[in-house]
Amino acid sequence: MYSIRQVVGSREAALETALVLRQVVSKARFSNIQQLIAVIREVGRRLAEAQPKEHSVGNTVRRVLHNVREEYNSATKGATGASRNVYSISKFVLQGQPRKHTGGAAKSEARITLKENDPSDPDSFARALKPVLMEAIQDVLDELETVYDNVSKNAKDHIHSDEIILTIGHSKTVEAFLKSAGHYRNYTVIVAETAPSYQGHEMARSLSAAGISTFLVPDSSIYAIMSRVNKVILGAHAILANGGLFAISGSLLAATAARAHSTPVVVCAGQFKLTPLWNLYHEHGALDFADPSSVLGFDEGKLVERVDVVNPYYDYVGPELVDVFITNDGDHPPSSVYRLIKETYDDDDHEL
Amino acid sequence: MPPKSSSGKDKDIADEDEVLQAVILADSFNKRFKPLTVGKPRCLLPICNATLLDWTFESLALAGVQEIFVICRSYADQVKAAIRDSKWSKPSSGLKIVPIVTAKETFSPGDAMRDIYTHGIITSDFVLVTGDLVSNVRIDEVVRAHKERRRANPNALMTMVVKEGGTKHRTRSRGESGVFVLDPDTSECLHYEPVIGYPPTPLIKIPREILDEHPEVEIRNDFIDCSIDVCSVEVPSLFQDNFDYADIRRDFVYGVLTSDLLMKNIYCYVAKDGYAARVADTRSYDSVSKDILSRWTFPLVPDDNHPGGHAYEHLRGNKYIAKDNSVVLSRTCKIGNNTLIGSHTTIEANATVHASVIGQRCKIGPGVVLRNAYVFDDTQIGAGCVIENSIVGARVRLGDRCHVPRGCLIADGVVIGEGTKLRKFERVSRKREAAKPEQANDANDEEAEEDSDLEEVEAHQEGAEEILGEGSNALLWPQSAIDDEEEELDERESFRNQRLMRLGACPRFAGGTIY
Repeated sequence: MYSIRQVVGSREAALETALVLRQVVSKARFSNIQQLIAVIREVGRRLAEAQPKEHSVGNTVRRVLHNVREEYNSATKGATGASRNVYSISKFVLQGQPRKHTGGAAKSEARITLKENDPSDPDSFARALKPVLMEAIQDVLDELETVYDNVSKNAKDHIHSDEIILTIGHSKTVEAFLKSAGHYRNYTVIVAETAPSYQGHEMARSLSAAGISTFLVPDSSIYAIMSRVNKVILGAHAILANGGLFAISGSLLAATAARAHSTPVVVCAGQFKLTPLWNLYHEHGALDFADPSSVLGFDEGKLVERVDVVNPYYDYVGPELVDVFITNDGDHPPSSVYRLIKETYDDDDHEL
Repeated sequence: MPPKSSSGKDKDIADEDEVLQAVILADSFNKRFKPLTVGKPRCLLPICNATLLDWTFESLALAGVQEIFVICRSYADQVKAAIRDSKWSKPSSGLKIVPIVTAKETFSPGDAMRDIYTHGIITSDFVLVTGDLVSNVRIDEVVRAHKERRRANPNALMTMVVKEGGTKHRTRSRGESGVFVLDPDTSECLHYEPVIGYPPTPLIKIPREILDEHPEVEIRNDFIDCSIDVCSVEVPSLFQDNFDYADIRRDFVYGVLTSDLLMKNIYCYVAKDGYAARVADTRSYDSVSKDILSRWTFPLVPDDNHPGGHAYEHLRGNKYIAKDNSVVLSRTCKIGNNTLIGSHTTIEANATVHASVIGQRCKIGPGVVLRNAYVFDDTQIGAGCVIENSIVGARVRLGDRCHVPRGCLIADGVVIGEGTKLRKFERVSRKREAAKPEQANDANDEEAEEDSDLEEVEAHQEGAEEILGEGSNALLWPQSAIDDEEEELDERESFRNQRLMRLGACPRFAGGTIY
């Protein structure tokens, strides 16, 4: 289903993945945790391979695996498992200091007696664990469903009155973020039209419909107007472990222009875009080259023969060009993304 | 992901109505790919290392088709086996593929349509394509448009998908095309006139009534005919009624539009975005390969959704190298742009590969030059060979320092000796094994037909020995059609017209004189 790109958009793909995994877990027969993990991995690998450039699929699988393991640990080891999150970086940033983690145990029900590999009743393990697992996957789903709200809940702290914001492309997250800020502040958005997909047109239409004063400018004028811009807000397709990101083509242009003017660059993205890959940007194909038809019409018979047109869908924006990532898990500088990834996923799942 | 298609939700609505059926005419009913198609149906020829049939399935799956009937005639067993072994026959594929073997007497698409009628498999509007289609057009949108039109006008019979391409487009066939006369408002096709490249068609006739009835007409000679037709249920029955309809365009469309009694309408769908083309001849084989490599077919590209299930890494300059680290590239070899290299292939020192497709498990010797060459699986090319604008089949052995100039077709399993210099547009196939007696008895028609072809070739082998070199098992096919007049070929299959459809044919001489 992913393979022929019927599911469009990172979040939709992630949601779809979580739903499939929920289905798989509810149907799966297993008598110990390894079997279950193997089943999820196998399905996850197939899903991720069907659409290798949609990283959110693999990320969701990793997240589900992480949650499943966590539930399993807390169910078997009780209190020892729950205290794993003590040094969470997001807590650190939010609260200023590491604190004893107390909330984790609140939702764990009365401890279930788990018996793995019970020969007399092989399904007993599955039966006992499944409700907890379903809840774990539901958590992932809930998180995905509320991701836009959570990213944009602090929008008013980032955008101030009378500021001029530049954005590019049509990221749903950025759209929600700007609209949420629009409830509190009076500010101006400049939208680059984002050739060749011209997603900026739609973004501008949507923002101005929400009552935000919006300008649509061609991509070529990004540098020229950058001196007047207070902040650049970008969406992301995937955030890599080094703090760099893949974003719609044109983002690199905007980010570099912003660097030249020392304008802060803010990236809004849900946590499911965190991708535990370090060196993806070395790969030429990672930019997801689309068909050339939006750049050069197929009817230009003579040119089609003689010109090679490349139409990369994404730009790689390096970590040095980004100032902060705003996620549903708090705000982070690029340098701590690796830490966030370590907390979100288990190390053994990086290769599905 | 790139929001190429946002019609996911609308599609669900269409799904509720009925299953979208497609019919693939997997037989080409002509011999343009001979001798590559000796012992193999054309739809199983690989293009960019996946069979044409797989590309067609992938294209249809992309368009939301759920049930496919594959009409096969020659080598039906091979086609059936290929379908059985493909990923599409797995229950998870969501596609139902039914191979249908037609009678040996099926000699044209028209015969195949009559066969479909007698099978009675078609229950609703269906999509008719050929087994050599590469497309990413949202056919379901065409189907929806067609159904809407039918609701308003029950006489809407068919919608043809065409693409604007300009007269000189590489993907547009110069040997055979058509002039479409359209009503720009309704995109109704008012008249269709077939055009062939040789002898050049200088004028077409448009019935006067058309100009009377329609204040505005568009006469288009720049369409690439994708041969994707959305047909109504009654189309097969019309073929049944008119037993002399052979070709879908030249006979059926022309016949329906010029008929005074039928009062049926045919429409065109000018695909604005999306790509669709068929591999109708070796020339379009070349151009469709190039279109795939330069990603016009996105999302059907080698590094993503490769129909053969291979994984390729996409490198700068549209180079695709198999991903499993099994390709051995010498340090000094040069890989140019628009190149695809299959897994387990070795390319040795100082070899140059430019705008070429190389299959799996090939060995390209030192100093070889490949330019616009298509090399199928398991082929070995000796040191210092030069291959240009040619197709080299599977399991071919080329000795050292062979020269294969443009337009050559070398069939599967051919061995060519050292230092051979082929002439331009040479066609080479393997000699027949001495026929065993028991085989001769139960040889079926198909083999017989093939044999008669080969016998003819064998009769013209003077001078072949010197050209092919020692240790060769090859047969040279005649350069020009020897008996054009004897065999009653229709004009478009004549040698001089076919010449325009050959790989490497020079575009400058569209008018006709020999290279």
